[in-house]
Amino acid sequence: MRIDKLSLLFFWFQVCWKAFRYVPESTRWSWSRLGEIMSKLLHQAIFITTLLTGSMKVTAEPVLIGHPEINVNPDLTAVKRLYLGKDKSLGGKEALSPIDVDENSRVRPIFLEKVVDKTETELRQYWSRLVFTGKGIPPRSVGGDEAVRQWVATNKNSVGIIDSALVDQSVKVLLNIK
Amino acid sequence: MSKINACIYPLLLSVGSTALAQNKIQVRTFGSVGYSRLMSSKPGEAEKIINYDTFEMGQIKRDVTSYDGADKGGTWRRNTRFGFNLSGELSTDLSFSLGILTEAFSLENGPFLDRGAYPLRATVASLNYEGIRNLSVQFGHLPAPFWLISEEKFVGYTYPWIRPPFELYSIPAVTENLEGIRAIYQFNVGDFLIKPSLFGGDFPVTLVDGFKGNYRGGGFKIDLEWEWLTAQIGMVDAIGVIDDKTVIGTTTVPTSDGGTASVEQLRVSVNGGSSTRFNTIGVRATPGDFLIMAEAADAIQERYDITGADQPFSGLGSHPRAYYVTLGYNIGRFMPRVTYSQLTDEFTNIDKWVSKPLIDQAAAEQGQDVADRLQRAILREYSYDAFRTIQLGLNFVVTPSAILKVEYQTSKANQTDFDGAFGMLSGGEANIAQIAIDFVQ
Repeated sequence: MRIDKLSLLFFWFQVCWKAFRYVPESTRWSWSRLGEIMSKLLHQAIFITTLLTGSMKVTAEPVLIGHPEINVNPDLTAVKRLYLGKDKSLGGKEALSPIDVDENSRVRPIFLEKVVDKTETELRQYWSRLVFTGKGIPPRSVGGDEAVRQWVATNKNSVGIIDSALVDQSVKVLLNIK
Repeated sequence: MSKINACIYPLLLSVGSTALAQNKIQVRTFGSVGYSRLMSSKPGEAEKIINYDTFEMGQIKRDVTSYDGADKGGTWRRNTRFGFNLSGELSTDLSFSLGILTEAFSLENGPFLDRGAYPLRATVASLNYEGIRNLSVQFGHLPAPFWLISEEKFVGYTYPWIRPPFELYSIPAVTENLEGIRAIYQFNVGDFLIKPSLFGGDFPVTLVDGFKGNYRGGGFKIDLEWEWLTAQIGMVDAIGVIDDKTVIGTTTVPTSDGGTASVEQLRVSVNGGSSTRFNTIGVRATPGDFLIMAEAADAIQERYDITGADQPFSGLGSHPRAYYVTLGYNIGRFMPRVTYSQLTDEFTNIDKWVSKPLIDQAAAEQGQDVADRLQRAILREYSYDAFRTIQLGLNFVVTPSAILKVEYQTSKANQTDFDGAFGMLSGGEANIAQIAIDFVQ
């Protein structure tokens, strides 16, 4: 679960508003006193927020997976070239087919940022240039992370990117994407 | 090549159906819906600016297709384009691609989908073999790989403009497709990806006023890619031309029964012995939030021979040079942009040509007149002092699959004034507004 910015803002507002209501009347409009109070509230809000986000936020950790019989040790550059159709392997001799990361997958944002280094629109434009001119075919889409794992487990020449939490013995982790 | 084409389409359909049955095919669609309007112009002078990219020279067809006359006026004209692409892997080494496009440019605000105005044509029908490491060989009906966006110019979604700079993309040597073969090899030098390619075959071309030709030749191109930078440099040389002739210059003569008949006065053909060569260089860069696109081309055109009446003349050639620069900056979902483009063209051997008598003094007066007008029309068409456009635009990413574009451009042609034969332009200005949504799926 994530705490979005709007919720965070609302939380701070509530804290400050409730605290302000309990400030004595005689000192309410003293600017220096107000500054001290706000400073204390700010520190407390930061502390509470850190606790909440630290305990509630679950970060997706994408990994590149392949069939257990694949024997390659790629780096991120090789993965990028494969997923952009600039290479058909991960540095080895064996040709590999990348499986697309589902648009609703939790690892999709990290995939866009870390692997292909493009926004969603830029990636669509990139593949449109190749697809509609017959110069390339985008990675095959098979569904969500679990569907990707099943596909890779049953197709020797396929690799995919899923959340590390979904990895099991049917596939092999080739690279941790950070 | 036409026989090869006759085989490639059924072949692709058969392999496509096989791939479809095996769930190996991907279907993608694209489209564009927009409106254009001539905002202002000099009366009677701007038609060619507006229609310059409708001479079927292989350029993008998005324009105001009719001119309402007068300084201001005109209505919004609708432009629509739809297409889809079937692609798939037949094996790890072999893939196919089939693209179909339909487009229409309404003259009136009629029905949104008028079937009569939407002819179908293939944009790509090819097989792609990648059995040799780092080598890709395409064979079939391919988009002509000349310019920075020439291969995807019909998509719209992949480039920033509604109306690509026609000063460059309408140079007469540009054709829609290559019926032939293209081999692309790629290798890395550090972080740079370098892709030299060779291509050859037939380049069908339709020139001015329905004059069709078919170049045959080849060329090479070098693409360079690095992070956010794409650059290319290329050269094309059409070794020879398969002659195709059409009639230009007819006149109406009275018949003995009191009626009239259309008489062919002149016939234009392309000199099969000449070659057409053009050189290009282009770059697309996206450093940070910036977009920078620039491209330049230099072409030596075919020579035209004009035969007919009593004395033929030959040796017409033109030398168009064009370039554009586009700057854009992404602000969230918005991208304001500005483009400047310019075309200059000149007749080669013009002094030698115009000093040559066109038609013998004893020739029919009408024939002399038509030949004279044709000479002047061709002179005017190919002798632009300068054709300049400044375009301002704003793009908005509605969704990752759809981009809304708005743009306004002012075009101006400086040209020596000649007679208005065949509706040709003799200088003028035109201001055009456009709005469109380009999308892919």
